[in-house]
Amino acid sequence: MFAAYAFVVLSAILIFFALMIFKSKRLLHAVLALTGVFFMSSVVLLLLGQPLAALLQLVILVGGMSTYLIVAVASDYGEEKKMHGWIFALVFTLLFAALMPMALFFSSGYYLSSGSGNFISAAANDLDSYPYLFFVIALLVAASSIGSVLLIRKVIRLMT
Amino acid sequence: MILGIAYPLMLSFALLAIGIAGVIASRHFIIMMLSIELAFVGSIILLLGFFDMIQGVSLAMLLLASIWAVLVAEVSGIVVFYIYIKKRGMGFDVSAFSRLRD
Repeated sequence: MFAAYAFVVLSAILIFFALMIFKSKRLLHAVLALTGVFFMSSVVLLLLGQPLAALLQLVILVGGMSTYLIVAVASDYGEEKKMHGWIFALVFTLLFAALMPMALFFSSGYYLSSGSGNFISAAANDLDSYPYLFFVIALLVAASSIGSVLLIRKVIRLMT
Repeated sequence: MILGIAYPLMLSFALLAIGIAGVIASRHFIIMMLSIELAFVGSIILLLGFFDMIQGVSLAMLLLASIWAVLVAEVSGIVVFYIYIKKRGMGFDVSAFSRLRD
């Protein structure tokens, strides 16, 4: 019962940080709120019984990516953004109401068994079957980084 | 696992809804990308919530690694884009990018 209460509280904090991305006027504050989302999501994963995934999430997203984003965005503190608040509220309400029947369907009568083990350590037992797919994933990151630079050059050419 | 699937399911759906609503409601490119990251975080929570229902665990691990990889690639794209646009002194309103369709 305590775990359920803890999950609800942590989820509320996570959703608060998620909404702060859109509520904050400065871009830097939005990125800081996203860092909060990443951190709280790793805490949620810890509560779900996946400590290694939580640690990896913390290292990759909070330690690496958020720091990268903050350093980049902090160089221009004066950036302001605009947002259609009522459209956001309307779309969020409609989507959440539409997804709710699916959540009720999946949660009816289904509960995860206790002691199911750790996700990543379970996966590590038979990862040898797919060694090349991890190289494909690594290539995906490299290709998208190069592709983003090429795309941005095209954008700059079109806009100037 | 001491929690039912309902809790991570609700949380991930809420994050997905916030992310999609952010993409639709915002005209700021960086905020739209951050919204997509929110949806990715929701998908990670959903994937690990459904851990017991996954048959091929290693394929699910690949999926998790892929989600992380796409997140990392997206952030690198955001930062490169931000620096380019700022150096050119242009804005981030996505309405101005409609010429990319041509």
